[in-house]
Amino acid sequence: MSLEAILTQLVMGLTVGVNLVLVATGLTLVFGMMGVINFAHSALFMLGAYVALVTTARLGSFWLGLAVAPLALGLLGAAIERFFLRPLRTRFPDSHLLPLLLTFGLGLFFEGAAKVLWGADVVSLDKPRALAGAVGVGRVTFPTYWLFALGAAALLALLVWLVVERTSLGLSIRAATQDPTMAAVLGIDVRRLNTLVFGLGSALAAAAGVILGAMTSLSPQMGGGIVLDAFIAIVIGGLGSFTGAIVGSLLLGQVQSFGVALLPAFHTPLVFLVMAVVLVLRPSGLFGASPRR
Amino acid sequence: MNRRHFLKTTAVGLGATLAPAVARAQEPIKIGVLLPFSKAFAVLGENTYAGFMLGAKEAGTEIAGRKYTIVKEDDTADPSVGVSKVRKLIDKDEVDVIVGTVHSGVAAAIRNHIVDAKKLWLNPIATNDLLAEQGCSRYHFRFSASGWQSSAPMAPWAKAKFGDKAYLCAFNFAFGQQTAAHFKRAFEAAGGKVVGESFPPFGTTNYAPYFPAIKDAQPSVVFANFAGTDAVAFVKQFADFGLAATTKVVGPSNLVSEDVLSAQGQAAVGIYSNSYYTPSYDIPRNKTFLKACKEVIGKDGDHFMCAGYDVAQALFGALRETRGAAANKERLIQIIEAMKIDSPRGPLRFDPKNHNPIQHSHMRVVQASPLHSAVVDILKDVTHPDSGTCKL
Repeated sequence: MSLEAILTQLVMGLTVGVNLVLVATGLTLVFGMMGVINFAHSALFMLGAYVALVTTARLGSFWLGLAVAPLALGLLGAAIERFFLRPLRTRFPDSHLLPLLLTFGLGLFFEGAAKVLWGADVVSLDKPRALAGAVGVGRVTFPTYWLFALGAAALLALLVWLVVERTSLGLSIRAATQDPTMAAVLGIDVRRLNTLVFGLGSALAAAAGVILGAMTSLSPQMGGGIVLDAFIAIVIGGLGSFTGAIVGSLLLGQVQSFGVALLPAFHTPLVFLVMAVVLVLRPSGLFGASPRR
Repeated sequence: MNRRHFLKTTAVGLGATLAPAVARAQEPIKIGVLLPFSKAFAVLGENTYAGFMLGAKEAGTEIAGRKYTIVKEDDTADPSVGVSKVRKLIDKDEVDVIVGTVHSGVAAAIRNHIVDAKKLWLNPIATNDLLAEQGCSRYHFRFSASGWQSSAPMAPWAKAKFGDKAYLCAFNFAFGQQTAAHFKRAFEAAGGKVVGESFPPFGTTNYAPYFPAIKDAQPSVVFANFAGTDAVAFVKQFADFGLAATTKVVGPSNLVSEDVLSAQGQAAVGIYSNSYYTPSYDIPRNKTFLKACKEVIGKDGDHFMCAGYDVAQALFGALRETRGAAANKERLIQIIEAMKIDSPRGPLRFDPKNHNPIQHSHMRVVQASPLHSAVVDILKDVTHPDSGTCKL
């Protein structure tokens, strides 16, 4: 490969990685802070896209859709935590399986509901006209909207990182994760924090759904594939590590991109091979802490 | 044996053989319809069924004085479900004829069950090449097109129109790979060269990593085969990254079919595809069909409805000719083999060598406002090539 070809493939891989970052931030936030693997993430991602579609159709602005969807899904996420997850986790505090099954079931319900509400047809969420063109970078034509997605992903990831690592709220969240009992004794309202975190994770899923939905299309099953890839990225990066999720996503994007260019016949299983190798060498992922419990 | 005894036994014997025949003549003809009515392929199954029922309505409620009933089963586009449903149609319902199905995997799975039971099998949609090759059968007639017919005929056409370098890009499972291989063989046979190929996995959402190789290969034409959400993502992103402006794209009809076209929007304009049926095809027979679809079904006609409709035309036409004798399968097969169907797609008949359709291949291009595929060329009487593996 020439240097130019390598750079081009690097940029294409970056787009894949950025898509994964968008999906992975919310997913890893909820796992890292609550220890819950949220299987409803793909459904929340999908619902976010549909809410934006409806909003855009009514109000005529993609940007309003992008603002309304995370708000709506954030509220829905908070309600899910308050009325489903919290009672379950209070009764079975040690079970990791039950919250997983609950979110899985809710995800299936939301997919079915979306089919009833909006039909199974493939529909399009149009990107804003202001971002319709493309920019030329050397020989590469790069769509303006994809540039926006890149910026949005960086911004959202940075925002979540700042909140978790650099604010007193984040400090409380981290304290509650490490030792909920001690945090409660110190006067931290752990229950309200959980509601907040799950709501935030859902809002992030919705934002990802809107941004990626406009690159592809909307259908009730739209979240399945990309959320699975994001899971793989998170496992490679280290479950629960925010930095790990970002690095894992970007790495996976490059593995996919260079896999396509260099090993075209083998690029699909390559991703799983990388995951297997990482897990053998570092069972807790690249940035994962050694197992806590 | 004396004369009296002989007469008596013969009379009893004759009575025994005649009795069920008389009873059967009064029993309705049983038609089993196996289609996907739920899950991902539900819309395709519903439309095929609607087209079939439109044809049934035109045929009337009785065929030569004999009524018919339709037993509807949902195969959910799942081969194992398809097998159990087809067994039910054969063993429990004892249908005379089976109409089905859409999914090629289901068609392959039910093939032996129907053929072993020697039931007349009218297949509206499933494109599986197998059914025109070693898996063909005298009981099976296809009303859509084989995988070969959906891909190979446009290769020499694309070479003549666009140039002699092709790039293949199709989703990474049987249908994508088979059609790409057919296109490649036909393109090379016409003197063209395939300059590259890639097979993205099913369900890919970001095609950007595949684009640099396509751009570098500088093909005169890209053969693309995707369906559903994959077709939307590929076509949109191909345009977003500026490739659509410089590179021609051809593909089977599913690349830009009605179920994905509105989601693809302007990005699909200029894409060429081939199909056996085009709603905007301007012949009188199609006009009356589209009008009937609107009035009776309440939807715009598509190729699923057309195929279902033609199944009904063939079936009820053949039954009329046998005066409603549904049990006489050999006669029904003979009649359908010789039949010239006046289809909304244009003339349709069957290849006596493999029971695959002989029909025109519509070459179309997507046009804007209103977004639709318009016929630009007709390749006459396209038939699945005889590979010598099919023994009817």
